[in-house]
Amino acid sequence: MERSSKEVEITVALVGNPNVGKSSLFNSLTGLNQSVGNWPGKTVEVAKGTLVYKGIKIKVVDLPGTYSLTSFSEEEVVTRDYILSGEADVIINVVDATALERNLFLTIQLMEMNAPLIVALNMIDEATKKGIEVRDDRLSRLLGVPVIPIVATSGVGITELVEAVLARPAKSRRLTYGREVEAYISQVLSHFQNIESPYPLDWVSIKVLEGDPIITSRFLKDAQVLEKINSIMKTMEDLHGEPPSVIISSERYALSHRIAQQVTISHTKPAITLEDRIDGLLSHKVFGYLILLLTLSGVFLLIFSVGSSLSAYIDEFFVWMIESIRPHLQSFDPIFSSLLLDGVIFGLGAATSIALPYVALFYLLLSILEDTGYLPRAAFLLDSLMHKIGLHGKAFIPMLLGYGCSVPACIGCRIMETRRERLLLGALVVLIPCSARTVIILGVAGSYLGPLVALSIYALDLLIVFLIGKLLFKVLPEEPVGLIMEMPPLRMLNITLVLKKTWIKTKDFVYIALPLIVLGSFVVSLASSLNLVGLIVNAISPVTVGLLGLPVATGIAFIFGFLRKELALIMLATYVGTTDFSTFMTPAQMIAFTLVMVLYIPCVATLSALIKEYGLKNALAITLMDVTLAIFIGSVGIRVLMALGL
Amino acid sequence: MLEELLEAFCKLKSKLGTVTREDVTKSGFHEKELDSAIANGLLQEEGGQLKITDRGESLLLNHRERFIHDSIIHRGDASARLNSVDHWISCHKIDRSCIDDFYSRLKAVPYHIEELVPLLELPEGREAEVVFLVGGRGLISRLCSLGITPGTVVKLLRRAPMGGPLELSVRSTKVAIGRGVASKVLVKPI
Repeated sequence: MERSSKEVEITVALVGNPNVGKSSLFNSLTGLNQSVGNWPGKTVEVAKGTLVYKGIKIKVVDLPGTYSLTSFSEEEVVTRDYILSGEADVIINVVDATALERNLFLTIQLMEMNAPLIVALNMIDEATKKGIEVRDDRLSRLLGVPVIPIVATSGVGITELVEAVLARPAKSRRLTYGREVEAYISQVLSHFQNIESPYPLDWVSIKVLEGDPIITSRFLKDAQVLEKINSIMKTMEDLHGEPPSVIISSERYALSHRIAQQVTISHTKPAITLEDRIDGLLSHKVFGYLILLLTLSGVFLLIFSVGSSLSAYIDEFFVWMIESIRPHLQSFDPIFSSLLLDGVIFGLGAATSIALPYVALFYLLLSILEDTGYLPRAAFLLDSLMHKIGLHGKAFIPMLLGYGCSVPACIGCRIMETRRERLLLGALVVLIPCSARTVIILGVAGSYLGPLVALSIYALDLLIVFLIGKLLFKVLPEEPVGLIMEMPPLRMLNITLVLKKTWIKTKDFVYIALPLIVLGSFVVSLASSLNLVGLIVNAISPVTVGLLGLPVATGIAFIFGFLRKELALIMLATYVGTTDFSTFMTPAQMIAFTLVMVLYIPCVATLSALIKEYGLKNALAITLMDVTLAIFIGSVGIRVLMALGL
Repeated sequence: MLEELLEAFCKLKSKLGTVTREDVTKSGFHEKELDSAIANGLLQEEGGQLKITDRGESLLLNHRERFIHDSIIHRGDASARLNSVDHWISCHKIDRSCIDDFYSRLKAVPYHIEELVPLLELPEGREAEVVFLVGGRGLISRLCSLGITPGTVVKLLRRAPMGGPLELSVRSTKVAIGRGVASKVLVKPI
């Protein structure tokens, strides 16, 4: 069988600085759910999607945001390698029209690589608001590549952009630098005439001049040539007093400055705007911290109060549903009825009562903080605190994510510059009480001992995280990498986008959690009907009873807590046969139980994220640390509490 | 005193290209000082043009090196003053790769070295030109990719309290940099 027409396929890659709307464009193009946020370094993994336009299949790849294409950071290497691989037929360079000079720095580097380029001039609406007019036709002429003005969030210009993709732009050509730098480049180039290279030789020469270790080791094997090139680099340095990499960066910036000036017309004089005033307040020495404190406590109070009452309603609804169905099913088949009601439906209820009130609410509030651009301001204020644990301000962002779910928090650690920092932060974020653990804190300590105890456990956990951070910093000492972070402009909230984002993130959570919870509940009701649970629970009783002084039954919570932490309480309740924990635990036991549950082990999904990010060995080391820590804190805690007479 | 003259000479040299006796005296130095610099073999007069000798250069570099050390590497603590860049780089765990080009970059600073201050010390709201970056390749590359290249004019918007970072306006964007980083960027206030 022969097809009448071959299916045409085009692969497009999105490249751009962090926070220029690449993810928004990706979503507009593919309708896929890549999450978007107003903080640098969001796209930590290469996202892929497809769209079909006029019968042509277009594959879209969203590359990590990057300012430059050197080989000093992982995002830069990932992006660079992808472009060099030639996998993409078209490279769309997303450019922020309000910060053209900084953005063109990357465009110029893409042109050095002769990428088949289209420039998507994004945020023209914001530029207009700021009184900046960008002449896209002139920009296109100066760069020699198609330039399409777009507004990624509202879809303006998307059709034109796709049309430009279908037209398949030619390979771009490198812009010419100053005469002197060009002379150095051609000197290097003259040594490369006989070299086989899949990459443009000009680009290789520039990279060699910059002292790029990857390219140099690959193309400079001849010792004689190496010596000659070193002498060219030495000459450059002696004449300019800067290393060649800085000279070339300055040259690129000089060029982008010139182009930006030629294509932008500013209609309004830069005056102190409302945005500047708000920004000043948010980063203020006193008010900034006050606002930060109010914001964070507001977020947690909302989650605690609204979350727990909403959660209770949902629970009640499911209990009512189960109990009203039970009489009808029981007479039909008691075992099937128990498996369906206590297993599947109960699990479904449990998942909903966490996902909706806690997770969705957290993501709604997080989306608001992200989209307004508040997170980098918070990171700015918390930088000095983070330095105490050997990290810098950006580390705050994954930590905050940790309050929602540990999995995105682990992945979010990639915004840190070095592997050591990522590992350090990764070990800390898993100790942050995620939504599921918040449920445990509120469900046990909160409902039986009062909100103050719940809050104290939260605070104690934060203190533990800080102390562990200090300890790890002592164990892995190294000069902390300094903070260098872009502060994106503050933006007005777009309610539709915020809601959409909340929905996407919550949906992701439900997709991972729901099957596990339903399966878990099912397994427990099955296991309890087979009397298996008792055996396992008894097997771990030396730890639960001996060391921690807890009732034997709590073992069930620890076993199932590994699958999903929010399962733990439900499983415990199912196993003991009551949801009233005060009937079988003293207040001291409840506090110790909560503490151990919060700290003891990353759940299975987090563990797999840890393995993926840091390797099996480090993941196991983190797990071992958490288990030891939990048992230590738990057993010391219960003895102190009992001595206090609780 | 002679170091000061050499600093002035360097500044003139990068501004004018060639420097004559007159240029130096016009910028506030006495003929006698110039003569003593020549007598000491720091400067040379050739066909009406002044040139710096190897000896002059090494004195100048020594002076600049000490300034950088005192103002950045080990601020204010004279007892901890170390002899050479080599020495303080190893003592203060500075990235080794920055030493290779350190002297040639230092030589080309187009201002009196005393005119420079670490970005950390710039008052809020003040503008300055980035002149010299002390640091390893990684740090310099990260600064450059955000537009903080030598010659760029930056404005210090605000600094966070309690040893927190600084917020700058660079090339019509805002960038936050930590204190440690800011102390390694030498700027010339405008």
